[in-house]
Amino acid sequence: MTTKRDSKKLRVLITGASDGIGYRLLKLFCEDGADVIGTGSRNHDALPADWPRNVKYLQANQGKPQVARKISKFLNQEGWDGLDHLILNAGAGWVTLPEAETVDALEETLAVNLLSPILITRALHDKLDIATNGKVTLIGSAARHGNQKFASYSASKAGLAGFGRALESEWRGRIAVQIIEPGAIATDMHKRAGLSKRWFHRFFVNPDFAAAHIFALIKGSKSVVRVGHLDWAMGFLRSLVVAEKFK
Amino acid sequence: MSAHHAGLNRKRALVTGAANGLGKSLTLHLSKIGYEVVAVDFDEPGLFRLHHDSLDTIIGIPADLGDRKQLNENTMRILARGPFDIAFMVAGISATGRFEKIPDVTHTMVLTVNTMAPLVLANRLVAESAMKEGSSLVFVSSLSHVLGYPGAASYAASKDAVAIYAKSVRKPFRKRGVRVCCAFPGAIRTDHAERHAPDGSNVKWRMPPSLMAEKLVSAALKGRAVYYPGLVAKLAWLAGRTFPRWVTRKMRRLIFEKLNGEVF
Repeated sequence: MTTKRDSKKLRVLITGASDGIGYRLLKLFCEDGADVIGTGSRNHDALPADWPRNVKYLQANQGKPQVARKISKFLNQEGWDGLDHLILNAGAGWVTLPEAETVDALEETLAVNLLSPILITRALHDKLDIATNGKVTLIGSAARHGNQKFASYSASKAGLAGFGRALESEWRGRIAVQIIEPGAIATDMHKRAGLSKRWFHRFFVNPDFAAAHIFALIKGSKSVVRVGHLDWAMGFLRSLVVAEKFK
Repeated sequence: MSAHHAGLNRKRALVTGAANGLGKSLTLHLSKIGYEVVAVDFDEPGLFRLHHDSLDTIIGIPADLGDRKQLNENTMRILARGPFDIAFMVAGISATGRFEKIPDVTHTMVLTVNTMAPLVLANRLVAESAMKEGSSLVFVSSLSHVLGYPGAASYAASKDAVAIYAKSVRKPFRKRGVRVCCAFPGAIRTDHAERHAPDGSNVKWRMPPSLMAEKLVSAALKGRAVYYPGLVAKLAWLAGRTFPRWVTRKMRRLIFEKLNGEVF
């Protein structure tokens, strides 16, 4: 059922929101007073127990070809004629040597991380155009510079960066396009990707802290932001000064 | 002596997108310098002409690499013609114009032909030992990797993905005896480039495909890991690395703002 919405509220759509950084970003936007819709591959029963009650969720697997249309249709059903902020966060990947990667895994990585974000952006561009300050944020990865055991994942994130770079230039003055490329974060994604626990995982960034940092970057105006460990450290120092921002 | 037996002593090359443009020039050049070439393209008449003119040193495999459902089957057909001494992943298409005006099916096709097909094919060629010890695997990316390409967002994405895949697999494939080279050609004097360029653009900066083919083969045989063919490409690399935002703004002015509608 469509409910009447407060027209002053920011309308935000986050993909890959059923877990990890996407879920944490969703909660931060809710706390910030935005109207949020989350999408993810999990079914409703598998959502986190503290999923905000006022937030709608759409199960939409980005490995499937019709996902963009499905999301667009859902927004229409919810009465969202415009969209202020599209955050494309969903990602998939498997840790393996490139010659050992199966064709299915390679195809799924490219579909989830590259093709679907492109098609979702296109499907929702008219809603972003209607919004006064429409913005697309692509969550890339520091792995986009290449990684032997994460070859197709790195390729897909490099493709996403190339797409963002071209689109940011094309849409300048109309719809803002932002690319955020975080380094390794201690979410379940690495476990799902088949990465066994190693000593250096201790240095992966805390996901709550990372989400708060990324949230602040999303609210900012920079079009390309690479977030390595030095940036995390600077963010942490800033958080000590402006403590309430990173609670 | 049959063509098959004559081919036994020859080195064997694989070229995708072989019937036209750069792929055709590569196929003819490789054939000229003594390779038996397995030429893959969806353009069957083009393959037939190549085969007919080459005294049987070119073997055509008609295959549409944009058909995702047939990708596994086509890959197996190509692998059956191996093992190869050198392989060029040339097949590529473009779509230029405003991103949102280009249909989903075209964006999907661009990513399938330009990214998914070469990645899957390279993966299988090495995994199934269809590349010989000491062989070369050449990916063809684009100068858009360093310049950005407003007006061809999905094409830019596809070529960036290829460039980083090539970089990522270089060491692991080297351990399997396969050298990986990634080439970043600029505009080439082909019908394909002409179709996607703005009206009235200067063709003198575009390299003839025959010269580009010679340069790519030479770079691959020398074991170059990264190759920017020609002075213009090298200068573009320097500008792109030094002033990335400025060059993308320039690309917008020189290409995107001058495009006369969508071409795909």
